[in-house]
Amino acid sequence: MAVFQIISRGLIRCGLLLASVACLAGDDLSEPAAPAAAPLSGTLSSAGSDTLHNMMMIWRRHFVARHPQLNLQIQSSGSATAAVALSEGTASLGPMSRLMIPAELARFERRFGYLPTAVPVALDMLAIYVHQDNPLNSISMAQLEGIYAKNGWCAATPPILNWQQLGLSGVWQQRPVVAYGRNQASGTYTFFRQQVLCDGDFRSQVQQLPGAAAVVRAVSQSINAIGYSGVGQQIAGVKWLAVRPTTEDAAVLPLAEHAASGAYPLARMLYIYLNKAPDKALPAAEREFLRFVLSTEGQALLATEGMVPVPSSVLASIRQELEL
Amino acid sequence: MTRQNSPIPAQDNRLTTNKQRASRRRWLDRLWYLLITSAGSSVIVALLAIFFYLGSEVLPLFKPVSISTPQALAEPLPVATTPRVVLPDHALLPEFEPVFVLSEPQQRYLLLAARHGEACLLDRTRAEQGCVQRLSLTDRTVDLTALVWLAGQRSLISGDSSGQLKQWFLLPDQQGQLRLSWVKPFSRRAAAIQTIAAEQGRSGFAVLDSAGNLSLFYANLTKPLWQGPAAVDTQPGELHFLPGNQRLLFSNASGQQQWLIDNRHPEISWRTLWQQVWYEGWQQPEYVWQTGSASAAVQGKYSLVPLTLGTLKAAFYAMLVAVPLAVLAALYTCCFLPEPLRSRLSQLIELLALFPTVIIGFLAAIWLAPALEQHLLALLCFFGLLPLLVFGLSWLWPRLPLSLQKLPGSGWELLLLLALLAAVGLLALYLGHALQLSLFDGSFRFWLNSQGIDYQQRNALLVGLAMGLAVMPLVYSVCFDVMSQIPRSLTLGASALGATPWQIIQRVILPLSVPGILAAVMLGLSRAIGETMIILMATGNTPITNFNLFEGLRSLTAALTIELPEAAVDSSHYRVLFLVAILLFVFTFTANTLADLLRQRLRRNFQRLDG
Repeated sequence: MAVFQIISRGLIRCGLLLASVACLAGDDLSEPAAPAAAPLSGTLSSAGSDTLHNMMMIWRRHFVARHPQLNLQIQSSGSATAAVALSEGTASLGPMSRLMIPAELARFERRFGYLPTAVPVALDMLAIYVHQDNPLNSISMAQLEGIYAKNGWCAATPPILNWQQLGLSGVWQQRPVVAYGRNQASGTYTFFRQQVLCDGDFRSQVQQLPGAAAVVRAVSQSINAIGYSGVGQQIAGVKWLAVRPTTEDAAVLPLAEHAASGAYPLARMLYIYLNKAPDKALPAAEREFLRFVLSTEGQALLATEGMVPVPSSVLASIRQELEL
Repeated sequence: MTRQNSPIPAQDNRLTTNKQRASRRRWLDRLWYLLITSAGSSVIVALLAIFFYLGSEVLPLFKPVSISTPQALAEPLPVATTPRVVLPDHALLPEFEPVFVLSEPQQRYLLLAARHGEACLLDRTRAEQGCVQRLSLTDRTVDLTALVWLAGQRSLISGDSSGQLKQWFLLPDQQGQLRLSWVKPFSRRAAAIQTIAAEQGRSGFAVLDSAGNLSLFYANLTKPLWQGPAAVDTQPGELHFLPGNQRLLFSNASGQQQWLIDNRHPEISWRTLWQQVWYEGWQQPEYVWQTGSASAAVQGKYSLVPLTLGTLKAAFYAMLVAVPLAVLAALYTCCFLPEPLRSRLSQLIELLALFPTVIIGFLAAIWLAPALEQHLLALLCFFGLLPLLVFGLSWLWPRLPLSLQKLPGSGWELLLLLALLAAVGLLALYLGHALQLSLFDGSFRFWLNSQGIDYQQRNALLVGLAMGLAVMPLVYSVCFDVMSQIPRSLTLGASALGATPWQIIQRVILPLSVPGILAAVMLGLSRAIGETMIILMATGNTPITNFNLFEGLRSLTAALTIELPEAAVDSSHYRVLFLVAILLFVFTFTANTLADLLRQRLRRNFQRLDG
């Protein structure tokens, strides 16, 4: 029995070795080539961010086209679910729109003895949406705090309750600001709370909707509404507000070049978390999927959702770390 | 077979087969008895197991704090000391010798406090102006002996030589200027406060007084979680919590000793769950439900009041829509419609119950919400016009030619009523639009806002309408069943004695079916309380504490759906959500039990009448 185990372990190692040789051969090119290995099969499951949901679906479509035998299940109910699913072992990919918090990391480490690996896969921006008939064009971070926060921990802005306080006149003077946001499981909620509220509390009148698209749809239906959601959610009936980091700064629209330069204050990295033991290579299906996501082709697909590719220096280091 | 060939052995055979049959029957009997018993008891066991599980998840929340006896440490542990804030030159004030210097997290303000309790708040960006606020942290007759930040540096705890402990917040005023405000005293210690240690990552603190007593507090509760003799030597020293808050360290010149503390859920108590709590950074005490943050130092806010009220609010408005509709519809179909139409219509209404609630919720959120916002006044007009229509018709009907009056059973009546209703609806739409333009500056909802009534697009009215529609068929079908069970002899007798249809309803049918109607209402209520998808989709899930028809709500069920997937297992948040589940169960259980008791009473009534 023991002999058999040793032999089988040896065989597996040989296999890994061969695979990594194949990888190295691929790496000689300036960008990793499409995998030459045989089509993968089996099931790969992902649980996590709702912001990354559309992107995961697009990546899946292109990836499964190459490996028709592979079944990739995607569940997107919020970033917080990724941490739970990874620690419980119910999913092998955990897309998250924020980094894990210490409590989540500790829980994973207690379970497995090592930390999960965060792979940055896209650069996303939160956009501030208003109704298309709204004459406002830009808003400052302090004003956002005034709209959303209960306690002004960032800039101590007094509460903003109607559009007059944001400088609008005419019929808009009387109109109250109705604020929409995401539910608590989403990384978008957490990111917004950190950036705009300095971890303060939301006013209890801020309406929490499940789903990134639901927020934008609600804004499109209500003339005096404002809402935050991922930049890729733009639909007819809404428009973006440019954001001023401080009151003196110029207003910046959520465009790709502003995200990459760091000028847009609500830009963030999106991640896929993995359960990778430090001394072991990733299972083939996960590795191939990530290789595809991080490839030039996978990163180019980001534009369809209004997201921005990860800077190439970051990509290179992550490829090295994962031995892709 | 055998009987035909040889009759005599057949006798024996029949006897034996009879015996066999009897034993097989007994055996089958026993088998079925066992099967049914085990199925029944396993249901009970499963239910008990669910309760046991829910209870076991919730109970640790209310476990009292326990502290071990102090143990001396052989090897001293390094303790993290807070870095001393360097005092800028211009902060040196005449006749003011600061003993405590604390800086807030944005590093803009400095708080200086002197031995006698005098404190000065300095704005570093405007330091030349001196103190922006001067106040006394003690009542001037006693000395200030301790002043520490709680975790997250949003609130301060001060202790003085009379044993008084006070909590302070830095709150912005109207101009955005921070000010130190007194929040609340904690229950007084017996002797002068010697040292205070703040917990890491949550708002608890430990206090050692000069009489050698140790107390553990949590910021939201005035009473200590634990107090007792510290059993340390009397030399002054310092308290420190180690990461994880499970070990409390006391160090002084003669060495170190530690206590092991089991205090997992200090933020949960009946008081924080059900009463107003003044949380860090809030202007006044409030009922707040706001859980979870990426930063551990932010207090979790678990008040069950907004959720309970939200559930009751949604159920109340839904019942307001469902009950009159259902009861009147049942009366109409049962007492006024002739047979073929009657059963068809009642089946149609009961079919409505099969409509998936997620579809109703979706339609309410996508289509009804904006429509309602636009035509709110039209809806109000409709409710105003409806009684007019009823009175008008009842005046007109006897004056119609007899040939028109005598058309029951053909469905003509029903069609006529439907057409009239539609006409009134159109009229209300037109009227609402006209009124809106002439009286309310083109938008009724903004006019409401200017009158101080908050209007949100996703509101209780919307939930009431959508959930009322979902609950109505259930209430209807129970009412209809009850009314059709009333013995025909009673209604026929009343009719024979010359009672009009309305008199029959008023004197016979309604009094007899009141327990049944109440049972139907209770069943509908328990359905409305347990409803999830409509509330989740049609409200903004805002945890607010009021009964305003035009504002949203967050129900117990919606909180469970949204938050259970993200709650870390065994955290306070997770356990509180289980408490929410128990609460939800208690509500539906009460409603269902009441409904059942009423039904039993109804059955007794009917039996008496039949007998």
